[in-house]
Amino acid sequence: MKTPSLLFLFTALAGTSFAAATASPSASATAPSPAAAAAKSADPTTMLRAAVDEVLAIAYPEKIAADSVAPAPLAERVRPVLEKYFSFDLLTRSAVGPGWNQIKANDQQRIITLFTTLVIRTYSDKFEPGARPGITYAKPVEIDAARRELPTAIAYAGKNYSVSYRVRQQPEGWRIYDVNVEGVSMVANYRAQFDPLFQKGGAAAIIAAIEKNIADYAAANK
Amino acid sequence: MKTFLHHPARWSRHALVAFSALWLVLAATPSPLLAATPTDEPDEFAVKPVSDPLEGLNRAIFKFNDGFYSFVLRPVAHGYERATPPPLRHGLTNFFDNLRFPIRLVGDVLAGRPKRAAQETGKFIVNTTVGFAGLARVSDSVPALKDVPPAGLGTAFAAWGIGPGPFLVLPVIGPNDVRDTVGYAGDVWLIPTNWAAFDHLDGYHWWWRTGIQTLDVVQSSPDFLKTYDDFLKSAVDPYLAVRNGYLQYREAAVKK
Repeated sequence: MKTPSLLFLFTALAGTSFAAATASPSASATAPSPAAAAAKSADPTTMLRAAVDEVLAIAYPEKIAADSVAPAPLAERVRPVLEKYFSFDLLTRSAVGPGWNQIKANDQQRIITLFTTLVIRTYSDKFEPGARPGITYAKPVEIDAARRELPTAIAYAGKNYSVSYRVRQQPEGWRIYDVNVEGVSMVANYRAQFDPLFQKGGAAAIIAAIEKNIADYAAANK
Repeated sequence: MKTFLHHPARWSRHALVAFSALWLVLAATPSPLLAATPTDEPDEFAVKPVSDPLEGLNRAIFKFNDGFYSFVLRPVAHGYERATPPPLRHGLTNFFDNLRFPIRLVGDVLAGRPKRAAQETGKFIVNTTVGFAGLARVSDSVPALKDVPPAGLGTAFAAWGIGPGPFLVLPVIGPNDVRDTVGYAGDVWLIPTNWAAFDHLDGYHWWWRTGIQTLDVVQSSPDFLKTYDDFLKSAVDPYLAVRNGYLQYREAAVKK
């Protein structure tokens, strides 16, 4: 071979497949009591297991009734579960970063609402039809008294992914505020995008950028 | 999560200076840096400075690549997915991954990690024999051979203390940094399908090699596009999202 082959062209991102995040947590609106108990549990892994089990139960139902009407989009169905186990408030303020406190309260609320929609949609897009992912939970790592890192390994479609969750103790229990897939933190990734937007155009620029993403997606999926 | 703090042995004077400087800045700044977190704990998602002196050019190539992926690579990936059943695709992905064993072996040896080099060798032997020439990744069911961290010349350079250097977007290949670009350029020659030795085999035809290399690119295209699309769909600034995602991924990979 006299020229460097195309073989290596695709190695750059080869390890980062986010299909992994497919297996992330969520929950079902239809399993109230054990879930509610787990949500308040003192053990962060119990919370995460409940969240993952609830999401998988929605994304990979045991059987689908033959006469059932076409289900709502997955993002809508998993939203109640994700809202129960994620702290979208904390997740959003972490993604925006140091500028958060300079943003007016109603703009903050608008950003939380938009960003929540974006994150839930991104998350539910990762679920694909097929075999249910297998998940193993490793020992939690203490970051400080109120925060834990919960590493998990996901086996999905013949591949293995490392996905870890950051959770924080909130008044209502442990809540997820970041998801890290193969070393890439979702919150840090959004921070890198929001930070320059905020420097240039303040809260309005962040709001416009998320609105554009949501509109583009809707247009592409009509 | 393994952070820098968990590797005291790797602390260099450089890092200590950087840490001290950060500390001084944090101590001297009347807290807007910390204001985003509920208490006055350090900001775990602080944006790190990125070396991207060629950002203008990088963004232009990024745009070119986006068109290339959409109009050239995507039809290829779709056609391949329509023409092949999933088990065959998985098998081929495993086969070409197994073929890259020399990259991982050399990377681990150069980095001075004999245990990982032995694990990679074990994986290669098991998958090549029991796994039918690498089509099945049977090593995943052997606990000692599961989850061996990625390795190549890039990770070896990192182990020697060489930093990533400026961020680059390469035509067609995509995001990279200077250290890993040099690493990949070397890795290519470690893939057996590129070895000149095969040219001297009886009955060799140039199209054997070209065919197998083309198959490798084609079989890798669906996964590559899936990763790329996922990133782009969720991004509010695709260039920054991919740059940050790549740098985070490589930083985590070389620390493993």
